[in-house]
Amino acid sequence: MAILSKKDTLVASFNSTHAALAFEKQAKAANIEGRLIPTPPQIKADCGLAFKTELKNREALEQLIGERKLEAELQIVMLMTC
Amino acid sequence: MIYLNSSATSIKRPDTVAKAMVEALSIGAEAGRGGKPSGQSAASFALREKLARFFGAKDAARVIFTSGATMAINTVLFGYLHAGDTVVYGEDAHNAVIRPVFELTERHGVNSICYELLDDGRVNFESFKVALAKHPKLVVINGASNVSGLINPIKELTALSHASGAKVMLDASQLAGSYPINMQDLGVDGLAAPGHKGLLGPNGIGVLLLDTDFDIEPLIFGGTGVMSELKTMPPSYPEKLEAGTHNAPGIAGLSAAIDYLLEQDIQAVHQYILELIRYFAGGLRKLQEDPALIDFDILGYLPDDLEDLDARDPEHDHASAISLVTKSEDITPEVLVDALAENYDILCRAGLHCAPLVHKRMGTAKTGALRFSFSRYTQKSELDAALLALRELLER
Repeated sequence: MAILSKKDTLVASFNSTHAALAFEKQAKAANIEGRLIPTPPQIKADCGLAFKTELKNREALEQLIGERKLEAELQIVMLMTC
Repeated sequence: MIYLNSSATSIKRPDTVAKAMVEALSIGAEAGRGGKPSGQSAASFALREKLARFFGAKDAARVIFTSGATMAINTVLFGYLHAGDTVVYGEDAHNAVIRPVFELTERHGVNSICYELLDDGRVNFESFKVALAKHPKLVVINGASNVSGLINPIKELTALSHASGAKVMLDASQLAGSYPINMQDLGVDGLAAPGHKGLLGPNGIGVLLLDTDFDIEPLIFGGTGVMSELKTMPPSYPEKLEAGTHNAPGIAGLSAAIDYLLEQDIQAVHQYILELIRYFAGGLRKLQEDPALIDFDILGYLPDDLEDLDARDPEHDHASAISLVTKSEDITPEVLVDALAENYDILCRAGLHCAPLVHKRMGTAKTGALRFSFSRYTQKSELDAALLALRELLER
């Protein structure tokens, strides 16, 4: 049976590695679980790193982005995951 | 962690490398600007001689320290080419070549020709000869592709380039330290290599070796510790191309690494890595035969019989990288590289690998590829683990 399956995933994309790492740091500080992944090909972004998290964290991330003026774009994408 | 990304950088080094770097920082070798030869001057001199010996260069004074292969390549490109000159490079070039060449063509009046590869990644000699017919001033040869792992016929390409009147710069980034290189034997006029890949040194240091009749103008200007009254960089090597204070810990680390390598049989190292490629490619081909798995392609030429891979035969030789791409829109290289890291603790690399043209040639410009790359430290058991992980991830 296939290990990888499709799942709706919340992904934040960035314009630079610096922005990606800054976002990860802020998310961690705000106790929002997630991790950096290679930017999925469905997303057009200048940075090769994206932040992946569960859909339930959308509101918290939107708030974080607004409050800290983070450079990030949130999208829901179908990703293959284990 | 299983590290299969050695084309990017080495993570394992002889213990003496870090020890030497800590010593360099602890003892605090001064910059060598004093009234007598300093510890740093002596260390730099010693490393130049070792590198000249290691790479078969004629003159240790023409061994230049840089911040990496990228700086070494830029130094030659910007220091040798002027408006109206033509430079030739191949589709297997790294962005360390492609980007400065683009800058030179866009803003410095230099002409450039990119010779084509065959679809399997090997040199298209017809295209190469057409490029040479334009009488380039410089030809940049990639020793080996960091995507396909194919090693170029350096000696042959160099001879053809010289016959057309061009100097030859070898980007040895993927070969230095794990493949025997003798500049005089190959005939190349310049060689660039990073310290941190096969040379097993630290990041932040690289080398540029120049033949005695290959003169380069400075790219970076600044203090050299000698001839301070000059408004220009000193005319003699190596100072001409080394502005600023040396990276002392980098030199110490690289020196320890070269000491180690000078005692090694580099041909045997290359033979071992070739055996790893043979083994892994064989494993990949078995996966390709399994109908229960998603189809994929291995990028670049491999002989039908992998036993034909031969370190003594330039046509059947191979460096340490091997890449694949699936025929699935869902199981992309990004998905695989993430799953391998997250679920199997196996590190490799997905994407375009800073080599967009070779991906375009091989039809993977949109998808990129998943690259595995090996070193002298890689074990077959690690390859087995990677193959097993791929088998699981590629199941339909």
